[in-house]
Amino acid sequence: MSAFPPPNYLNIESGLDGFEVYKPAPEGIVNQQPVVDYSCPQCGASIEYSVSSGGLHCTHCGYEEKPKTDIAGKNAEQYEFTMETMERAAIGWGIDRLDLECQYCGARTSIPAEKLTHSCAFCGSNKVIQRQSTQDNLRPRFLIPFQINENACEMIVQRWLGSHWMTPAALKSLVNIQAFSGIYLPFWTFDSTTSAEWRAEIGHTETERYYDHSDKTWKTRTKIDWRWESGSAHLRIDDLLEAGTARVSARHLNLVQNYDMQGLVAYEPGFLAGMQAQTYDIALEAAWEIARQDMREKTRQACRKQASTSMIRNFRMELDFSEENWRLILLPLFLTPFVYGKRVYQVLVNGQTGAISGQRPVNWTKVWLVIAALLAPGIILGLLGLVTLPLAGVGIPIGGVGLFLLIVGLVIGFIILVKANQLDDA
Amino acid sequence: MEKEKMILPVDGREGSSLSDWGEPVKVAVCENCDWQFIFPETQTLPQCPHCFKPALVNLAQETRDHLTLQSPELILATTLSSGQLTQIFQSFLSGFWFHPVDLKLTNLMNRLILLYLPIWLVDSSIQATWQAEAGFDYQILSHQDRFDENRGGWTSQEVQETRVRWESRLGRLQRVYQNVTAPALNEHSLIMRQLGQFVLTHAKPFGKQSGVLPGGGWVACMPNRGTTDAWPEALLGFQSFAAKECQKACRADHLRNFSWSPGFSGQNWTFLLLPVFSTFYVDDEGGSRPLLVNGQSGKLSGVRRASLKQAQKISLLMLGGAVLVVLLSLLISVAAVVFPFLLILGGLGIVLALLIGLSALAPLIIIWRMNQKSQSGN
Repeated sequence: MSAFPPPNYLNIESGLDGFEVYKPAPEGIVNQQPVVDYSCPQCGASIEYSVSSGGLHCTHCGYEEKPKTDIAGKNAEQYEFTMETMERAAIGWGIDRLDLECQYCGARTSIPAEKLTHSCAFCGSNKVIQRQSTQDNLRPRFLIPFQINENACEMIVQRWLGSHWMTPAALKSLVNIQAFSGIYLPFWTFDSTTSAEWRAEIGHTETERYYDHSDKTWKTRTKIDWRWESGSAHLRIDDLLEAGTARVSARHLNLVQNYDMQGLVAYEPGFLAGMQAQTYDIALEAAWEIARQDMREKTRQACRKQASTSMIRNFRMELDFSEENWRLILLPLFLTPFVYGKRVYQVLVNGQTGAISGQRPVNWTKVWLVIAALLAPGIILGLLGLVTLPLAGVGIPIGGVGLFLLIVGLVIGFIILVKANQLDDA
Repeated sequence: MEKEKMILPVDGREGSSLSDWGEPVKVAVCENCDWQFIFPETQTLPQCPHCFKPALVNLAQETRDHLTLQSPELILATTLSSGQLTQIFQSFLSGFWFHPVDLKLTNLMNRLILLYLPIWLVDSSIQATWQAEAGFDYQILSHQDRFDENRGGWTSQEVQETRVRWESRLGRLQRVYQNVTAPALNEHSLIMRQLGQFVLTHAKPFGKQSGVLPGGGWVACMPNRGTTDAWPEALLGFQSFAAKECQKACRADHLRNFSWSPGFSGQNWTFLLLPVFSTFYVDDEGGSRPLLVNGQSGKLSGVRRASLKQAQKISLLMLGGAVLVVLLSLLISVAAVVFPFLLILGGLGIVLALLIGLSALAPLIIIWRMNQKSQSGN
């Protein structure tokens, strides 16, 4: 210890006279700034994150700047379920509002706290707010940057909208690149090891011969022999994703949730410049409850798989969770709302992988025409059979074929109707 | 603890004065274990109170002058009465089968010597820089779930676990530490392990003025480890004190990987005597088996060695009985030629003899096991 105290150490209160105590300074205190102003150093215009260049881009003069990218991947820091964290998370982080003063025009703006980014409504300057939270780990510390830009997203959406015959043909032309809104959504990731001990009665089918006195013959019958079995299962569940927002359809979000966690990078305000981002509205405890249900169901399935047959009754298991960790991350998503008729439809595109899901309108005229076309041959042949019935029974085979085709048409028509309804209600 | 401070060099003690012991004393050294003893001139010491070998040699005046024989600054008086010591030895002897002939309460009490063992106490001012990992307890919320399809599925229970968060800490200290113990005997750690700790805060100044002198029959053992040799252990003691205080300074629940760069000043060494009662018994092989009793807590240390000779005697008696039963059974069997029903009695006799013969091994096995256990316990 040549220089004392070493750099980046803070003097803290000692619990005993005659002692000086120092601890390492928290990183946040050294580096954090409350507001980061993203303006072009060349022309002073606002700069935004550009997916195609993978950095900050000035649309005015073309200036580009790469944000600091620390790829953390699956090793991104995780947190334990401390009592302090749970209490803090229960209070919530998204209930406050922030009063901001624009650094350029001085306009005062009040924005909801769930917005991590804000563009000044008066002068358009982009500011990223680094929120000072009492519990620092309840801020997102990692994110996956956008890998897909608006142009690629437009192609994906157009292809997807045109990929189903039930959708209106004009739908593709409704998609406007301006409508694509890249947003970082909050997600919780959970890790845990589940250790379970199980016990159940397992059924084993056995065939036995017996003598039937009434028939006076030997017969065979099958009976189930129930035997107790037990076992244990240990599962390591890694990076189980739970959405931190309830504002997007959970069903569609699940369908586009194939994020590659190796792409996680340390949170850097530059990634959010000009982008929208939301903070969580599903609190840690609620998300953890959902994740735990998922984990214990996976463990239960693993236990049941160990049984020697699939016939199981009186199944009991005890499950311990250990090494539980969580982290709050931001994941990229394109939200594309469009209006068709009088309804608003929403399409979700994974900003990393391009996976797509959402709602599509149904062209009911087209659907009914197809169903009519399917039923028509059966009806026509049936009528023809009826007409030709008096002519030495010629109408019987024709009517039979007509009836068969009608039944086939009805079955296929019913399936189409169900699918169309599903598509419309999605 | 009251004591008279003496600033002494680390590498040795000042002067040597036998007159400070309060009464005329003799000095003897054991040729077997090399321990030096000081005891009243009126007292006779037939054997070494440490190894109990008759190898004590009284030192001539000219030899004494070369030794460090200064009286102690502090002494810890014994709190045990004769009655308490009798109880301690009685409980040592209770439930002890086949003990050696010499192992009797009267022998132990007659041979009892109040032996004072030396120990160093060190005081020092310390200035140091230090670093360590401070551990802080925190609570983790975990879950234990149960599934029972007959009781409506899942039930969940919250469980709280305590974990330790380790954080780096460093700092400076400027403290005065007093009464850090350092061994004055090479065998110190072994003896302390056997006898347990002494409460040093009860120590009193030694000398005529304070009126605290060893009373009755006593023997004081002199240090065979000087202050220079004792310093490494004292250093560990200071480090241990500092680590405990660092934990308090950090307001931590735990501390680990403590390291420091200390500077010492104003060192003061104090010579303290600890009271121990020493006695012995002679085992079957003629060897002396020492017993030590902590003069403060009454904790006894020593091997309880059973007599193999006595066990052999019992075994031989049992074997003799077995042979006798065999002979009687054979006689009865011969008589069975005339009275056939006696054959059953003869058979039973043979079985009984066999059982007695096998049981004869039991005392030997028990004694062997007892001695093994007693040896490993010490």
